[in-house]
Amino acid sequence: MPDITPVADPDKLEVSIYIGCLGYEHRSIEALRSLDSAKASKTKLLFDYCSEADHCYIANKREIGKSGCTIINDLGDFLAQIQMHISKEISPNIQLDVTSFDRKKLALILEVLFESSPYIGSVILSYFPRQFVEPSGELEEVLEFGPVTPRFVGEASYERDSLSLIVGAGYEFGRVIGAIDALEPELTYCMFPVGTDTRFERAVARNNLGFRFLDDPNLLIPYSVLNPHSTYFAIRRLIQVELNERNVLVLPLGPKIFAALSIIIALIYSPAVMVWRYSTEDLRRPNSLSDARASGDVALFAFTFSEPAITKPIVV
Amino acid sequence: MASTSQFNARNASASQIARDFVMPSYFPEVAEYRNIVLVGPRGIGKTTLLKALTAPGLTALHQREDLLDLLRSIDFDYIPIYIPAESIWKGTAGLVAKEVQSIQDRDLILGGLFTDHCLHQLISSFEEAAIEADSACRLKHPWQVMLSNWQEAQIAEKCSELWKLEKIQKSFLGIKMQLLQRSNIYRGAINAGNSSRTLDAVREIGHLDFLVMLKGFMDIAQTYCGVKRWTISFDEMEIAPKSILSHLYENLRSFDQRAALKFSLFPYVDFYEEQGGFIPNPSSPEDAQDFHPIILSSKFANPDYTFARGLIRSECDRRAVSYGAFRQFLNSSKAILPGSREFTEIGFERRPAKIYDYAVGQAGDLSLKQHLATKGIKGPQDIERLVGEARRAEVVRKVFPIAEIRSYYLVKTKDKKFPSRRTSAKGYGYYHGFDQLLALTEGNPRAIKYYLNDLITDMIEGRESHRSQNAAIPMNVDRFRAMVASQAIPRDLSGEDRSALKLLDAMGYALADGVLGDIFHPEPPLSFRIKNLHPSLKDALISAVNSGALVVEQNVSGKKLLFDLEGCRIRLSYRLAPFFKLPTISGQERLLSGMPEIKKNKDSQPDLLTWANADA
Repeated sequence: MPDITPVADPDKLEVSIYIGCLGYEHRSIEALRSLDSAKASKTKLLFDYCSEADHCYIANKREIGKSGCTIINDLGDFLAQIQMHISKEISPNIQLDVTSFDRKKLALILEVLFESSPYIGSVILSYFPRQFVEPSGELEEVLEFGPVTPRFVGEASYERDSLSLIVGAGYEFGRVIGAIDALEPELTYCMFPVGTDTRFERAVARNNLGFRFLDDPNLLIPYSVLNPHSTYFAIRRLIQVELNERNVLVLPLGPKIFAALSIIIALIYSPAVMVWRYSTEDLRRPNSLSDARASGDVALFAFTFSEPAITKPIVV
Repeated sequence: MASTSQFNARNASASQIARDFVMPSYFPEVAEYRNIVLVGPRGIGKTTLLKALTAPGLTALHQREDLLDLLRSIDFDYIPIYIPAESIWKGTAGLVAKEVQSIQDRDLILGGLFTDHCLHQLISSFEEAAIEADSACRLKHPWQVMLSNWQEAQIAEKCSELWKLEKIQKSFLGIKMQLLQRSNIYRGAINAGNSSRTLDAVREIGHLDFLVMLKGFMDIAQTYCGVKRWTISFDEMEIAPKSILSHLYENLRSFDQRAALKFSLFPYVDFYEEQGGFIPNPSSPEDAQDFHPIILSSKFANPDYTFARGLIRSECDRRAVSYGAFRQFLNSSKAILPGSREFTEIGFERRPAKIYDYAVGQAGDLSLKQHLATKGIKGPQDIERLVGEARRAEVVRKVFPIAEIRSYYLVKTKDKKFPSRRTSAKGYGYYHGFDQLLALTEGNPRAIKYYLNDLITDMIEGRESHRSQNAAIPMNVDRFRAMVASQAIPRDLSGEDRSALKLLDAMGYALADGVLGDIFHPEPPLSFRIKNLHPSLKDALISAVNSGALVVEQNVSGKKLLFDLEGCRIRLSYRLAPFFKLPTISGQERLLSGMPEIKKNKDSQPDLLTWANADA
């Protein structure tokens, strides 16, 4: 897989293909409301979650009615359309709004972008943090817990026989400790989102850290949600170091920008790094879904593709 | 203070485990040369036991002078092979089931991954037992084997052929590298979808049978090194693919005279089902006949906490704290109603007269008062005057365990119709004290260590006992609930929410209604008898049993392994008791067929989420 090179000033790039989704969260189309780059893009591809009965879906659909979006509800078709539009353009700049995508679709889209890397100018990720809403404080049942897509099942290596878990903490009660007790890693790093809302930070801390799962306070690594550039390097450094000794499994709970960056780094090191998801939302059970409105902040991260990383960890 | 990840035997080396090993009474049974099935939920100590029985584990155990007498009587004349499961298997298998459409391909991939993992561990364990023949060392123990470079090369070469490796190898390192490479072909096939060259490569390798390959390895090792006896320990095999597990289990009947198989399994055997239930067939192994089952699960009633006490003593020693002082620290909690318990060397006794005062006087439990009045008890002084074993049993032993918990969790009201109601107080005084700690952990070593980690630290730092226990109890309950919630179980398409946690909560709240209701019941139901269970609850129930959240009465069917829950009696683990305010005793039973109905609003249950500030 190719490596990437982060690009400064992502907001100055002109976008020709916008990739987003139409979902039940109000913020799912926030990029089309507030980002000029997204509004001006020639092609706007939206994956349709078809959640008519939930929250803001209908209103969102009405709102984007005349914005020239191509709305597709079949995932295979959606991914094929992305590939087709990339091939039609010359080195297009692509904006991927990760805000409301589920982690699996996000991974599949990023896989397509990596596979199409020779034909892409740059990729800009956008993420709109939500307005803070107090979490329920109840344990949620896990519906699925496993690799986010088949590409992230990991690999066997002679150097690595134990497990290192890098978990991006969210504010859901007990989710991190549940994962630790299920996976039983030798070492756990907890990446802690900061910089959006202190109430969110307090909720993340309250619902996770009291369980005292860290071997060392230094394994708690704060990252800035609104500065994905530094977050990217922080995750990458950590993965690179850990891969020399242990199998690395990234569990990106919390803000989707963390999930997107983790997936990108895992693709660079593919197939060495596992990325898992921990799904508790179920479209058949609407009360497991909650609406989310954008807080007004936006995180942007842009990169170009480059030659595969030379300093990859040693693997068999 | 240690982090809780250190309490997991998975990540400890065998010699580390042996160094701190507290020997349970059943250790000789586990160690002896015969087929064994170790049964118990997570954290009960199965991995610790099996790792202690590896070559480096046995060597380290024999370096402990305090254990030498105990070890001397055990026959360790075998080469121990230890095969752990990988915690990521379950998630990976779930993905394979979703992504790989052909059942044959699925079986090839999962079977191949499992086999190569086992073969890798087989070689690693053999290397651990090997003493270099060219070195000055001599065999000191029967679990060791002399191995020269020539012998290694011969074994590696023969194994390469037998195990269908791509290239013939001359060393164990080469074998392991080849196995890893092949393992990555299987992983690649998961990623490749259903029609690719990688999948073709998997089909070309074909079906791999670990047991056949294991037998071949034993033949080869016997030829070149003279090894005649082996134990093969499969740890945490419940994570392994069910079809493979079922195959391994079948082999308990007649695998090979040269090997004793040792399995560790969850309490409910869900890999061995035919048409929805266990149907014995002529090839099915029989417990006691083909294997010796050792049940490590929590006891349904009359628990024996000898091992748990030993573990606590050892942990206290490790942290340079007096065991007696620690007991005293827990028993001195101000949240235990003063004078309601008398602590002795062997436990505590309830003081019924005092409990009467608290329950009737402070908590306004007039229902208890009325109940005792029908037995001729008009006040606490009448309890003191009771004579005769039968009379005391009727009035004191049955009534006061329930009266005691009501005295903590009912409060007096001004309502004449309902003179007491359930309190939402966040304190856990009823669960304080050393013996309650034993009950709350159900003797589960990992649970004990989680609790001790905080409690001993608090004691050393001079924190007040009641504050320390009020923080530790709900935190550990929440951790246990989070573990239960993290066990993903398949949902049916109806979308009905039949999760383990939902079921446990419904059961717990329903029982709590009986214990803390308006009417005093001296013997409220505290367990369930499963009868005509609604099929939609089965998976949730199994998940709860296997995670240790439900404890099954073992002596129901005569069989030690649990193949069918119908007719079984179960109770909620005491590890969850503080969440529902349930007593740590077993009681009467009620039927469980569907999701229990809850009468009371669950808001009246304790709010564990505030444990961080629960200093009350």
